[in-house]
Amino acid sequence: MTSRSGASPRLLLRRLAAARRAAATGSADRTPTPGRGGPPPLGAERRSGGSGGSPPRTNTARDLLTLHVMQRSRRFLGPAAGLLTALLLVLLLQGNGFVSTLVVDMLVYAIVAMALDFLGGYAGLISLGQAGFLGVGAYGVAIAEVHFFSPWAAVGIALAVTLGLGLALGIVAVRVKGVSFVIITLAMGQVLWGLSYQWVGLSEGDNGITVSVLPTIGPIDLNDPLTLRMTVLVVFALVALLLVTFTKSPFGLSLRGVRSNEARLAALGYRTGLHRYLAWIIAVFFTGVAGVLYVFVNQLISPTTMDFSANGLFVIMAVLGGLGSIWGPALGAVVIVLFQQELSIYVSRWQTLMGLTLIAVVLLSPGGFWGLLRAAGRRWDAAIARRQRDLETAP
Amino acid sequence: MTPAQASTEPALAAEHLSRRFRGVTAVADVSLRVPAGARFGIIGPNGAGKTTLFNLLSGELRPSAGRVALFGRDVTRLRPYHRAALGLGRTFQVTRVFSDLTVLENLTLALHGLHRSKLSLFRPWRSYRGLTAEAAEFAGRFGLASRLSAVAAELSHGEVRELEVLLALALKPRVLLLDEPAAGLSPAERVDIQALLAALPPELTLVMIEHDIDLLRTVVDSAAVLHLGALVVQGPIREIQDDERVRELYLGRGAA
Repeated sequence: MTSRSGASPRLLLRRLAAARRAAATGSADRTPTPGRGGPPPLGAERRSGGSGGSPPRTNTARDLLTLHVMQRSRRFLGPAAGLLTALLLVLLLQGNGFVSTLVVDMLVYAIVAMALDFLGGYAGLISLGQAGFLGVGAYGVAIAEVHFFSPWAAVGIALAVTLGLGLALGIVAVRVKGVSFVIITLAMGQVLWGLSYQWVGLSEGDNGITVSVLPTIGPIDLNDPLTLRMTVLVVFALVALLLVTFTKSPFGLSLRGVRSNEARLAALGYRTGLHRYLAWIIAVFFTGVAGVLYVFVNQLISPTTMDFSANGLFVIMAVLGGLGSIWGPALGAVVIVLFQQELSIYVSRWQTLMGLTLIAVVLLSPGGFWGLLRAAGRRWDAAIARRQRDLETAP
Repeated sequence: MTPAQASTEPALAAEHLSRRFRGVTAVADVSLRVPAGARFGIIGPNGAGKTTLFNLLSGELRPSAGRVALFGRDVTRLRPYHRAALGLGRTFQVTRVFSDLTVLENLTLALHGLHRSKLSLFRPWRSYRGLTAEAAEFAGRFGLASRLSAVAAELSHGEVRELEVLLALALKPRVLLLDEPAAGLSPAERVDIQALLAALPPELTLVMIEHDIDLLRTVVDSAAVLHLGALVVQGPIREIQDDERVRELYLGRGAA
């Protein structure tokens, strides 16, 4: 993913040909093959001149090929892994059993974790109220559908309400940073949870609202479980790709600048408050999208979905997976859902295990799971660079 | 101090500027007029209020009294980003670069500062070839061309200070405030920075805080001396150097 593209294949082929020519004519005798230990005895070096210098030559050719393979695989490993994951997800979602339910849950939570990461990992604003906005999206659909409208209109209304609430609350939230931001978002999440609990006339309180009829448009009927699961997958992929695109844009770069040194950024002509506000709105909106999917998948929304521990769980997903990577928190969501729904069957103290895992990851890899992958990628880059240097010094 | 009203507006003007922090007056009734294209120095002992004055000029701080004008436009109420957009660039005494970003990312961020592209969401920043090439060109002005992919936190102290100056220059300011650009630099790096400052376009207005009078003399043509927040003396650098009061401030009473 770095700018290091290495030598082009054509250049490599040309070098390979040159190496072969050189080997054929046996012109050069100085081929200090790297990593051969200490210098050979002087006499031996002298005598070999001109006669048969071919073994190191073939070595160089093989080295070039190895380098080429390493560079290629470095470049294509990411996309290949992505494609394989997508394929795997499609396959897993085919069945009607437990596994597909688990995967759908993972995908919905992953959207929230990624949105949280966009705000926290890039702009440095960790939100502890994200479950509240998940609830707004979900309740928005449920209330609109039960009381007033068609399912599709309900989706539009839910998203509009989430966006509007994000726009309004953002004016307050984005005024503060650091711990104050954590606290203020926590307060917002708790207020939203409180509303869902106590505004019985609208939210039906403790019981929650069930949504039985899902939207249908043309051939896409969300009441069909498979269609619904595939829709969740598509929406997840869209959100993930959008967020990744955003992080690579000048705006994404500006968010990293905000986190790194906001005063400096302001002195460079950036209206940093606006950038934080936009990041907030993006994060809240996508969380609302996850909320809509949540209520379709579960066909029920109740206050427990947005209680305090849910907020904490999303932050844990993001931190465990690796803040500032988008894909990492998605991975974190996978792990946490596994803990919560699989491990809890066998181990009653699954939360203790989750806590220990979190401590281990934070201590051993501050960048989370994704940090480990990134470190591996950097090592690979370094290995490629080393080989390239070796080959260049030994023409 | 202000003889006749100049025909053109000064690039940067402070009028009776004051700033108090809970009873402590950090800047007291300072009035300055820096004409366009001037090279202006601000000197004074530690705690004289030089950096506070800079913060008032760049908008980091609001003045308790007085006003600031940029090319005749009152900017007293404008925030830092707005003043930057009007052509006011600055560096910081305590170096502020984006330490977890690479040199290339630092400079690209600075170059996007004045473009609408800074809010662009869908196009990768690396695909702005013109800007990234310009960033590389900027890095080449100091010896940072080979360090483009280095994270700023890994740079040496001297390189960080150089990057800091480059960030301010990337804004293509009309007025540039430099807060001790040579602080903590090696003699060789001082020469680098001196050469860079000498090569700045003549129409750029430069205001510079510097302790090192020798360095200052090679860059600025006039200067002001601050002491306890107040302006002691202002004039051509030659006169400042020989001024009795300045010697007293720097060398202590009786040394002159």
